Amino acid sequence: MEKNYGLAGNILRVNLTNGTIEKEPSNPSVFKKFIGGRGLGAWMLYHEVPAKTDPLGPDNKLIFMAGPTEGTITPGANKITVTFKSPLTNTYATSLCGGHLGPELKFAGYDGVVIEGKASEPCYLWIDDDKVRIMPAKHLWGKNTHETEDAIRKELGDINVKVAVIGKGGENLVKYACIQTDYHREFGRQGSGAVMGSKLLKAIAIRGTKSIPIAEPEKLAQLTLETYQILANHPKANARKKMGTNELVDGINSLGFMANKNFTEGTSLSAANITGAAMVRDVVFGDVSCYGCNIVCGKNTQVLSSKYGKVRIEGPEFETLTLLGTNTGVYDWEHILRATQIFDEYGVDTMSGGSAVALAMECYEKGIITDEDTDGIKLHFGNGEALCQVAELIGQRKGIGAILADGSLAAATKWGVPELAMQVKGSDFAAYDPRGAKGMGLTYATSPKGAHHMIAPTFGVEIAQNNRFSEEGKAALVRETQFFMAIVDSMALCSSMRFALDLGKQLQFISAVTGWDLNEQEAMVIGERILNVERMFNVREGFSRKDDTLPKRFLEEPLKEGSSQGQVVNLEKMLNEYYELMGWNQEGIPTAERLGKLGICY
Amino acid sequence: MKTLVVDEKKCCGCRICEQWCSWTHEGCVNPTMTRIKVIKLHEQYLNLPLTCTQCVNAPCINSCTFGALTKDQNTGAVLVIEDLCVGCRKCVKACPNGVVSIHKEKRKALICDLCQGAPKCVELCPMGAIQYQDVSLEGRVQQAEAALQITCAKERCE
Amino acid sequence: MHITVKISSSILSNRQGDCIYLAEDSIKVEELLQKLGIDYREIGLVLVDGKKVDLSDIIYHGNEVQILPWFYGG
Repeated sequence: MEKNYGLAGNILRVNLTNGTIEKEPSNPSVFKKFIGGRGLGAWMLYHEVPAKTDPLGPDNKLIFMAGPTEGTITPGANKITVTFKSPLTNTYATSLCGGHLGPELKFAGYDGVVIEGKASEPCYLWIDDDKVRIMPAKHLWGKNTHETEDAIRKELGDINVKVAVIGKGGENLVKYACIQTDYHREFGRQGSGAVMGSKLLKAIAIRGTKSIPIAEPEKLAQLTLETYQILANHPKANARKKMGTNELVDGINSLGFMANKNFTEGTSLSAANITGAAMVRDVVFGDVSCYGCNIVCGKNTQVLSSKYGKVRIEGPEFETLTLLGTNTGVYDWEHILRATQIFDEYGVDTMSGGSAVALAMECYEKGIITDEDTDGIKLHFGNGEALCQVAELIGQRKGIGAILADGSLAAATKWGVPELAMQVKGSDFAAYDPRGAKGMGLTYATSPKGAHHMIAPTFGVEIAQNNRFSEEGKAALVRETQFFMAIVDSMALCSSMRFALDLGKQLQFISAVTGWDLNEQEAMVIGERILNVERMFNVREGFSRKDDTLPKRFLEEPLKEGSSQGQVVNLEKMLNEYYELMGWNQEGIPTAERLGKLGICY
Repeated sequence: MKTLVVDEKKCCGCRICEQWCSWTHEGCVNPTMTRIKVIKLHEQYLNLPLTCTQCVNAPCINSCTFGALTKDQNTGAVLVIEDLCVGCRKCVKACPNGVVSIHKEKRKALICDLCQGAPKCVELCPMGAIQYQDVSLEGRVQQAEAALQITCAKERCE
Repeated sequence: MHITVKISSSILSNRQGDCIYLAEDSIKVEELLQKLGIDYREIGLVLVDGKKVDLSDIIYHGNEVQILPWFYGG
């Protein structure tokens, strides 16, 4: 039999309702159609989770999926995706996590893990190569994320076991709770942690001792060494190595489209306190990397004598720094680090969390909510202490936190001001204000999992072409970037690898590892297939053009000052063009003809 | 004579050293077939690369009752004579650095051979956290650190 | 004779922050970048008085130059 190069060989299927554990052989022909990771996860979710499934019920699934280049020397091939129906958006959702979890899963002999059903009492999954067991976790329930990780490593007697956990945020079904590993690496968005919590699954621990077969080892080694060289000499990679993703702060802020005070402002002078350079100067004490990556963008940071004592974390990344910091008007390390730490310990997404607090602050300033709603917390923009207090309440689902734990849209709707929630389909925006890069507006509006920046981060190209305020040609740009990113995510490659690897180079890696012969055109068809499967999942749930929209703020309220002053997004024109290019009807629904061409039956 | 020297404060935990150690010696990436091991100490926010330190009067060699371990006279690396190794694991226990393990298929000891004098881990570490340097330079990093600590203490006194 | 240059702090090569470049009458964008020691691969966009310019364009005394990095997102 032909060897399945690049694949670990099996997909693990665990049903928590009846405790069954099965291994299904990985089917290489399906992998070739979707590559792996995000693509394959979408395909499986589409087939296995029917319409109107309760996201927090036993019929929802968590589909963890690695990629074919993972567990090899391929640089930056360390992401693992989890695909599920989101409790925050009720759409398809996928979330990526770096670190060491994905490679470990492949070393254990699995390309993916599907979690089904619901346990009768708290448990965790222990994947020890071929031995897979469901373990009791009553004693872990109620512990925070870091405590849980440590306790499991101790219990299993191996410091090298990789553990993915939920915190109290996930247990309390905070709708944007995350799954966390290695203390500060997260499947961050759209609430995978709440789904895990609803299944009473506290953690997944993995130990692997196997290796992945490679089609052309010499070619792979050569490609890898070349890539190390390119990255070591690449100025953007060096900026990331020095300052992490926060190298973005200065540029985005000076271009006037960085989330400030719930997107009421696009720029702030105070952001000078928290640029990448300022972070290195003030709080960084060490560098952290995910598996097999020589960019090293992770930064360990600390404030030694804050009013909260010593605060030590990894991060905050750019999106956390902005959504949790600038978006709430907080521009100092003490509170940003502490708030990040609280969300991390509770296992809650810092982006949606920050966005929810920012919404509450705007409502408080406008008098829509008062001290009565906040239990006396003075929720003004810029009140870092209040940010930390509310962060804690969200994790505990107490007081105003109970309202915000259902997401910014639910909270704003309850307060009668849904238009103030900065979200699409319930998922909160990333830092890039779409008024400052119109392509991002279309990206957010059409993203299959609600507002999300990495579905198609077009602003770099838009800025370089100096046409960021134009809607012209953005539909084509967004469409192509969406396909390209779908491939990157499905390979399980970190998006930072784009510094060195264009699509052609990525395909060379796939070919060296798996022996598949894919040209760029075929790859883009795979990207399109993935986007359409994701779309069809949402169409089946009743989503259409009416949901591909942006908050009124971005459509009608021009930015008041800064380099993006006066801008609003003219979405409809871009949408029309985008649907047409995608071969979808003007309601945003894929045509049978187009789906047939992509080999998707429904 | 050169040895491997690690600066754990510089290590970022990417495990490129592990990958290539396993790859160059065994032709595959396998976390159990690497002779260098990076341990992540979560609570301390540290990644600690464990390497063979090429001990003189090496405890692993002394522990071996089958004569399967010897010293490479040129590099000072501990060499495993696989025909003589029975996989008894005494050397695993004897190593003060915890860097001897057993090849799971061959059932023979796995010990750093310094890649015949050109260690791959040193070459590919993106942080310069592993150095291959002459023993006469040993302690320079610690000297510098100690000096800094002493001056800091003095500043605090003033 | 001078040109004001604003360099984004994300740009790593050699220098960051704002600076005044003392120039002759005029200088090519490419030459200015070279003299400042900025790697062209870091550059997403060069604006002169707010307008996009190419590497081969010429900058004159009194111009304000803004150098922005290439953005990948993250």
